Amino acid sequence: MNATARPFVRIVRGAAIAVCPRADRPWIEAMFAEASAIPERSRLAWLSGATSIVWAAFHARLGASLPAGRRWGAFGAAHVGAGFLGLGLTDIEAFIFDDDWFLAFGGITVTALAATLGAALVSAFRGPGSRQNAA
Amino acid sequence: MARRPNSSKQTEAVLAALLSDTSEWQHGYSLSRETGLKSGTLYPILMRLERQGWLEARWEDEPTPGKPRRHLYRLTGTGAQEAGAIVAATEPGHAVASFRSIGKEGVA
Repeated sequence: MNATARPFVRIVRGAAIAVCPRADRPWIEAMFAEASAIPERSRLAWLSGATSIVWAAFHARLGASLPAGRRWGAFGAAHVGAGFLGLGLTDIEAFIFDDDWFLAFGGITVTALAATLGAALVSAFRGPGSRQNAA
Repeated sequence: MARRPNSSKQTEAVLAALLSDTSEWQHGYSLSRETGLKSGTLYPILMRLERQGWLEARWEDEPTPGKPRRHLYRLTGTGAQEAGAIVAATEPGHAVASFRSIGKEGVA
């Protein structure tokens, strides 16, 4: 897109190209280039189409880097972590119950979950055809 | 029974639009207007047709000043033959016109 393109469109275009597999990038470039040549009233709908293609490509890559088993595991861990943190914040320390233990377990669970999701996101960006792996 | 590839209504509409003149390069927006398809539907079809070798794409040589180069599309020889057969099965009148156009220009 040309230098006069709106900054927002340029940012969206840059993000879209970074997220897409290398083989699809010329097509995304083409859609953004076309957007600047079409009547303004049709431009938003045109760009939303481009965004849907980019989202589908990214979703496929994310799905490949976070298989169904791990996805359900993450879903379960999120709930368990939230439960631990909830118990950890009750301020109850009586008999054998100490809320500090739950706070610690919750912290560990949430940190592990964040690390897993972060690794999946990084893997999705570095998937086959990404900029990092480009020859 | 397995469906013939590229025989969805949307793909047929794109093929018919591209067949209207197989020698002319067309822009994505003109294809979108001709077929009534939104960009999010049109481009995945174009991408698939290109991967299959039915479509060739290139960037515009001389862009409009101040505008980026646009991507242009047209059917390959194989694409024109296959598309002609598909469109003929659904729209005999259109396919005859398209085949005439192919005959005039010659299939690469």
